[in-house]
Amino acid sequence: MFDFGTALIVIGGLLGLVLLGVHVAVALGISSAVGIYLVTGKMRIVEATVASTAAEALRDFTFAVIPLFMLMGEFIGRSGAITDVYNGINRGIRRLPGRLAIATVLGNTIFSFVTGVSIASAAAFSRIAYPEMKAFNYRRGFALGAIAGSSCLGMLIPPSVLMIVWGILTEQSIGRLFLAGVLPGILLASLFLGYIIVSAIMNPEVVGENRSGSQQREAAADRVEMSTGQFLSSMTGVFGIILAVLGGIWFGIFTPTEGAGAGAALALLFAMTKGLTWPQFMQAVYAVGKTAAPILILLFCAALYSRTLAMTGVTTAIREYFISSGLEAWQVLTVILLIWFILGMVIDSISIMLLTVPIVEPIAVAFGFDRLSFAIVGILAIEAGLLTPPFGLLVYTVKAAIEDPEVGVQEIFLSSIPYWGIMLFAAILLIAFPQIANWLPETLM
Amino acid sequence: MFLIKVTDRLTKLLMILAAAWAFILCFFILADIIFRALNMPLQGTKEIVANSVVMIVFLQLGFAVRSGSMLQADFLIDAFNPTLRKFIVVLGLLLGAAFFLFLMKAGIKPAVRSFANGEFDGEGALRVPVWPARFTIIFGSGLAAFNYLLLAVIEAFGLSDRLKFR
Amino acid sequence: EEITLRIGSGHPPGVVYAGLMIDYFQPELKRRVEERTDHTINFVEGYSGSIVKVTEVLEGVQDGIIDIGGMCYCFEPSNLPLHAFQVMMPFGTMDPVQSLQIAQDVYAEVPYLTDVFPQKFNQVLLSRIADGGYNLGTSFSWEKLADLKDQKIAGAGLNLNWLKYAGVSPVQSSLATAYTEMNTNVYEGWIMFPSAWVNLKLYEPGPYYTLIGFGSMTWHGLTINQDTYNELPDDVKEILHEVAADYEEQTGIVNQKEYARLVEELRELITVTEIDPAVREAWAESLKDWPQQMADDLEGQGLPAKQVLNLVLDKAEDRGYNWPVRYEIK
Ligand code: NA
Ligand code: NA
Repeated sequence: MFDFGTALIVIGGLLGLVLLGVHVAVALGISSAVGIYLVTGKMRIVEATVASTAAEALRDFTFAVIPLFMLMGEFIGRSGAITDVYNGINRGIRRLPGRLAIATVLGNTIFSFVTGVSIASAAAFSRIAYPEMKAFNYRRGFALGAIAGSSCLGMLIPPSVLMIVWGILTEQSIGRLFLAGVLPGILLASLFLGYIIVSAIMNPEVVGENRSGSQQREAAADRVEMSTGQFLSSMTGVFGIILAVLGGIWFGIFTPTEGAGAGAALALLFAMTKGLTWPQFMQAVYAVGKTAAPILILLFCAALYSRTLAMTGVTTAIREYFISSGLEAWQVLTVILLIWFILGMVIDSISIMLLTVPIVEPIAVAFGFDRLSFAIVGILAIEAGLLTPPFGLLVYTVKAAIEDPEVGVQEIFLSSIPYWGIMLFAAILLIAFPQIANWLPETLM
Repeated sequence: MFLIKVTDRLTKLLMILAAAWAFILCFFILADIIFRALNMPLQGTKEIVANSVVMIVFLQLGFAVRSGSMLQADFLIDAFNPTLRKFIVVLGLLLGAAFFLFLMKAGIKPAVRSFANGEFDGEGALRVPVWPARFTIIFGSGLAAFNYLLLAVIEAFGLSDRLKFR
Repeated sequence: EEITLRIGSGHPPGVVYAGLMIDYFQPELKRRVEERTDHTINFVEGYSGSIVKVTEVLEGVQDGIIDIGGMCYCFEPSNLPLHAFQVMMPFGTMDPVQSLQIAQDVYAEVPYLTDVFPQKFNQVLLSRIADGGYNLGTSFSWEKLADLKDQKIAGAGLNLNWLKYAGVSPVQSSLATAYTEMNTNVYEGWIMFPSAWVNLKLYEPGPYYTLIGFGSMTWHGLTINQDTYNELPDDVKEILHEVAADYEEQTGIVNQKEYARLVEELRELITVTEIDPAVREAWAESLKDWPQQMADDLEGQGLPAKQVLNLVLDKAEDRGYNWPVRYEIK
């Protein structure tokens, strides 16, 4: 029986705890325990539910995909190959305005095909591209905006932890979601490039023109020392791993988890040929332990919470409320997008997904949205939150990685605005043309 | 102090152990793919990996808590005055301790039951026992609860310099 | 008095027995209780694993996470190993109604099968649930048993053993990943009932469905938490058992109808072939030592396995079924 008071405590309690800075996993756990107690009145049942969920929710082959894809990204990120790719692109497009920023976007697009988390992209390109752009007198904000903004591609282009979580939550094929993200990812990258080129032409000062002599430019352009052979071997390695892993998933050799496992192993071998050192190897393994465990714990607590919602009947009640509300489909979608964008300002993207997708996805399906493009739209809207204040994970990652005390967080937030603006625009394009997401999966799978 | 030194060591050791284990899994999976391609499928890979996920996560939980990696939204309380902020943070950490203590206690009965009944995954294939994962949950959440308490004490008495996690 | 019951299963409503819980058991119980008593029933639904996953139902009911749960014994190999007895006797009847009758006969003579629920798992068995018959769907066409040799074929749990003896490479899998794994050639075939072949679109990667007739299994159950049960008023208890008995019959009848309908649907979509009786017999012959092996194993755990398996043979024959190979259990 649906009880409004219980629902209010379970949902309001959770939001209150999260906003007061209680760890999201703990907030989910505590409000679930309270909710189950209110529904059943028996501490024994609360205990049994919590313990059973802890043992069963994560005991699944699929969940291994998260740390394994992270491991793959870490190995490649630390191999030096991405620096080579970045420098190579950079050389190849010498005549374009804003080429360092363009190379950042293009390099990030390629790196996105091997990393599952955006923070890895943000950290890597802060180290690789920022010193370059700084040397070329780019306006700091513009440079960092390009790094933070294009890092978002990491979670939109497969592999992506957000897609994996979405697939797990909605019981969809992760391989199909991966395919659905490719074209929107390329679309987004093109929009970013367009923005950079237009800015560089309209306002050359942001890319260092008029602030430095052209002599210095030419000299600095050849500053980078890298043989063509080195560039080619890095490109071959990175593309080889992309083809092996994503190709293997799409063309019938293995499941995403297996792809991730094989990819991590291949990435390690590749990184070793590139001279990965023992400390770098340890750092990679350590970094994955540090980021994967909190996400997986969050997944367990979210599973507990979604069970609580089912036990209290809230999920059904909200869905029925929306369906009987008489709202138009586009109004429902606007409400959902707004909720995501606002939540994105204060909580991290995976938590948002865990909190909202189990409720929102059935509503969207009931209103006739197709599941694949809705997933990509959701990922875009939630990802935009990574760039918005006050909690913008990518912005903080960039800030931490550049180690430049002169740059303030506000500056990065400010120059990221165009990027999340473009992401919301891309989301609207996808709503209008769902084929952008559906075409590849329909053609290839 | 000595106790804290010991648990910090343990926290870190478990984290590294679990990280190494996660790393080894990727070769395990690779082997599975290769053997399958040779038409000699290995038995039990999925069950072992599935149970490993639970164990890895709960072995790393203590570290996630102690190192401050648990995800949170602290923008609102950062705007509060320091006393109120401290009070709320300590309360939040105590809630963390309470939840994982609760999970630890709740996990004992089903873990013992699982051990006694010989619960396993993988009927028809390699039988992988489930009880190690269940006992890891008890142990891992116990350590997490302890670390939450420790963080609460550190926060309450401003001991962050003396009890730094290195 | 208003009675609230949390009811659910790990399976989605698309699976016949879970669908019948929603469309038959729940409304019938509600209606009859309201008609004949002063009580009303409210259900909080938890299907598709939204409260308990398929592997958690027995424990979930035991601990009261849900009050009434529908479960497959296939996920309880350590707690209820003997309850999968029909699986240990492959090539039994393909008629779900008959399969249910055989199971009812066996349960009637072996009290352990019913009593273990309250004695060990704090719950009461309300209904036994029949299931559609198992066949073999593949991505390639085949005729003789030798054609299957060294092919990778999937099964879940105990029925994986039906494959070991035919010389195929058995792969352990689950329904959730079936489509992708078939599609990506992780394996080339699945031991599967027609409903899954149609509803999960397995006919796309697997356009050959061979009616082998491994048998229809009555190896699901509907149970209620013992404490919840004890708290129910006597008149409600009586209606509960009555509705549960009707639901039990429904699972046989509906699965029987569905099986016929779905095989027809498959015929329209893909190549459906009837297995040559000689091949079926050869397959059964290759498995003839396995029931004995299972019986010895379970007897070792102190379970009345020999009695149960022999009863399955006898009761099937009493109901007019002819085994292609009559297994012997000593
Ligand atoms: Na990616
Ligand atoms: Na944000």
